[in-house]
Amino acid sequence: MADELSAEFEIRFPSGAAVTAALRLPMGTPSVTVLFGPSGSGKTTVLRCLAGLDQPQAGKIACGSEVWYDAARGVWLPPQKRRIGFLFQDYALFPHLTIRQNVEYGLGRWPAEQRSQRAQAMLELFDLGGLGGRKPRQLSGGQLQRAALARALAPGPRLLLLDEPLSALDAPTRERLRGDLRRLLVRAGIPALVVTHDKTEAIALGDRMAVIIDGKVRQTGTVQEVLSSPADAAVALSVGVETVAPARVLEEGNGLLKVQAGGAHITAVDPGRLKGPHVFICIRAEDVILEKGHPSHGTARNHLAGRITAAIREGPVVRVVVDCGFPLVALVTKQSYEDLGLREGETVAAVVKATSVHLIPRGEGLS
Amino acid sequence: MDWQAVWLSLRLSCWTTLILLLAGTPIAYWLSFSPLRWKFLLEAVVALPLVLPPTVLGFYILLAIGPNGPIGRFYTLVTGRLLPFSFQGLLAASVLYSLPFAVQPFMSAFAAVDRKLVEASWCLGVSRRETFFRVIAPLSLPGLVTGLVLSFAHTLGEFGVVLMVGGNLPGVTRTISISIYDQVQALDYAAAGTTSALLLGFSFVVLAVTYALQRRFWAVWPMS
Repeated sequence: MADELSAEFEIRFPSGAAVTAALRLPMGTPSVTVLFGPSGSGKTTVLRCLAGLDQPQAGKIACGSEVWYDAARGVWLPPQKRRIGFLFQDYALFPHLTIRQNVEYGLGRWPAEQRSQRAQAMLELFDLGGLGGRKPRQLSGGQLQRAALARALAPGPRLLLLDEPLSALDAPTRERLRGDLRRLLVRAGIPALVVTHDKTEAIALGDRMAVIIDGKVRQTGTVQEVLSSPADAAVALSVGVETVAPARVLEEGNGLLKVQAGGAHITAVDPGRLKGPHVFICIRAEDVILEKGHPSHGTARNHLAGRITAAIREGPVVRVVVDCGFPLVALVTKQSYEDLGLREGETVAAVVKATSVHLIPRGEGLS
Repeated sequence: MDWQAVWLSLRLSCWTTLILLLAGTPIAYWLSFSPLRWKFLLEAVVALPLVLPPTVLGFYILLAIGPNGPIGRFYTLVTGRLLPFSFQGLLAASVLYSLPFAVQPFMSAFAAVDRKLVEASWCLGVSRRETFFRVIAPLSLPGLVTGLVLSFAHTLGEFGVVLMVGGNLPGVTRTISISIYDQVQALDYAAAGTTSALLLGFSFVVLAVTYALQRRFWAVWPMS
């Protein structure tokens, strides 16, 4: 209880849009939580409410025993008092100050000597040793990011909030810095909450993941948990499970379930928390194997016959949509696609292991 | 040349500019950052002197600061003196008359400061007041300078409001523009010409220097 940020609030905008968040962050350990969601889902709003930059209309935010916001008691702690570090999307370094002055900016109350020592230490920690005298406009994207991190961390915040920290960079730099940023966040040694809409970024940066869709936090857990067992269909769609189709449970036994999706019968591992016969099946495109002619008899339980309705080339891979009673998306390399002589309209067998079919109770999320 | 009038005008302009810096800044800050919806009403009031004839403005100011007006009565109560036809009364009128010339450039300068810089400052634990002096004001410097120079130049050249509120008392309320009017009335074209040329030259130099300086500021802090 003591070392936890707990937030449960609702903020409404004049436009009628509302964002509700229920979120718990462990504060004791320096772990990185990713707040993941499509653009417009309210991720940044959640971050701004935690920082105290936006004020919700209802709910409560508490950090340990310290109450940051409580609608019922009329408590509202301004951002100045929350001891958080905020990294803005475009870093928001003060253009009229040097990098060193930027880093020193939040240390106003420190004695001059300690202030300059601290700034120097932060500059060196973030590999900016020789750049202290430069103005922000003289720095590259990656250097700006490190300077903004150094500035946010200099006053010693207890939580770091990052709003799309890589989106201001060009694509090659982003690729390069994705791994670096994770290293820097670990180096910072405090819990961090990172907002992103990029799945790769979420996997690369996060220990834990919270998925927000249409202004609601839908699922929280480790990154693996969320990606491999999405709580509902909307989460599954947003984390990039390509096939999400409605199905009906026919029979169960031996820890397996037989379900019917469209005209196809599929075997899946029983997740054990289904509440009715109606489910969604979720299958990642990477987990589907395409075969021509007679399917071989391996360990895979599902051999679905279908017709190729679309084939979209995406660089070295082809995204193939097979109609086997429901549209099943498969991802194959361009090489295999051509070797197999696949074509639109062609009949193929799609092979899916029962363990790759994830079942989600229907009625939550997509309807 | 009526040096007494020149000196009076300079004094009046300096005081007006100083007061507008102190009073116009919070007004502009409030108009820029307040979330209140009805703030446009105050915005309209501030802009009134731009469209009202100086005589109308002067008339109402005269009523307000007169011995029966609320401000005038309070002033007399406190100081035992009368506001109309005094330097202080003239100063009050000048401040109101030049208010939009200070507040509007201030406002557009504040609005041009990236909101995220202000929020970044707050998140670093810096108070709103300190954020104004350390982030907003430095980044608004060109706008602040423009507002002050415009107020100064505008006060220097005002005529109608002075005539309505201040009258024409040498050394007290006879400003440079009134002096020129008097000289023309007295058919002293030579004196009027000299004074006019002085005012023209002075105004031009002040504006030219300001714009030149601003060009430099803008080059130093491009506000994209």
